[in-house]
Amino acid sequence: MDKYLYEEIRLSMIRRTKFLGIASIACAIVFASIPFISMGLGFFAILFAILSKGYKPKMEKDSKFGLSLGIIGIVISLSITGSVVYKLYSDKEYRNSIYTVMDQFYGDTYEEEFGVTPSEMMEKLFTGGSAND
Amino acid sequence: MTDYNSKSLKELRSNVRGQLIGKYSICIFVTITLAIISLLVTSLTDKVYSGTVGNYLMYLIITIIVDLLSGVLFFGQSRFFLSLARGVQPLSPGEMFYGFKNSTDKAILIQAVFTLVSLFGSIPALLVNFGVLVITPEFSKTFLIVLPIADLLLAFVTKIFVGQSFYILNDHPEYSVKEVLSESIRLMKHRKGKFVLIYITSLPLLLVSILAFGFGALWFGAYFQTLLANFYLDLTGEEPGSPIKEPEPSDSNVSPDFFR
Repeated sequence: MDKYLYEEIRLSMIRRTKFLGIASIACAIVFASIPFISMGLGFFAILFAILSKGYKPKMEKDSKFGLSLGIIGIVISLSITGSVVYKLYSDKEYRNSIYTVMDQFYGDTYEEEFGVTPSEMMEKLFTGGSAND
Repeated sequence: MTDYNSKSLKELRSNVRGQLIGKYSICIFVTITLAIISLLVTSLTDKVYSGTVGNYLMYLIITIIVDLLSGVLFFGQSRFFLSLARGVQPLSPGEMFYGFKNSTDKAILIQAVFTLVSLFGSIPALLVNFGVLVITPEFSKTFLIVLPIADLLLAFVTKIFVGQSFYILNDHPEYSVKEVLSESIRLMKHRKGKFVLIYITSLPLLLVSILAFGFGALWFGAYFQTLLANFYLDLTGEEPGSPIKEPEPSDSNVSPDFFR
């Protein structure tokens, strides 16, 4: 492989890192309710940033930029997920509002299948007791 | 004590990253093809098992045979990644089937070592399945957590000693299986620490690649296999190849400005 072609392929990998980082941060904001999309893209950005170094001992500027954006995207997604889980644990009113929606959507199907409603299952997960506690 | 000009892990990793630029697609193709083949064979083997003890014995025998035959594919895979590490051009994905035509019997016999170790590690599970051993609630924790870890460690220790066998077989097809195994053990003398370090230091990247939707593992697989091939070259004292070919004097009219 010609060294110019080699460098061009490496640069395309670096550009991909940057795009993945941007996509990660964008998805963290736009698709806040589906955090795994942003996290997956963020981890891809990290992977590509490391692999695109090639023979060079240090990362290129654009790779570092993509890497930073990827990490920020992951942090945002984790913060959103963490805050939602914390709210579910600590705020009973919020939990009940989620239960109502879940029971309306899946209640009958769940009860037929597992013998319990989704709210009972969730309550057991969060408090270790029954829904009436 | 090393008696050769050994490369540091940092240099090895840098070489691997450099060698893989522009080669990821072909490596991923090889990885996916091998994964599909093993998935197909495993799913066919699983169809044999229906729950009875006699049937389980049959299933076990077929699994062992399949495991032995997979040595041929591992041999091909090792050859492919060794060619990549040596900078062989053009690199052909057909190399992964090299073991079907060359040194097939030896590849199967080398794989037999790994199969035997894996079989030895799964003896407790086999005893439970045949009803010889009964799991009490106190024993279940040990059975479910400690034994798989011990099995994994046993397989890893085997890999430390005879892990270079497929690469040696590729370079020295005239060697007998015994010679290949003893050569692998000889090469690994005083270098086991570095081999273990390769595995340990690759764990963070493995974690990142798995978290990248799981598909990142394809890139990691290519990286890790090339790293192992480079480690073998380092053991033998051979200089790793580079995918960059210096242009011929007649190519000097190509302007680098084009890529700016």
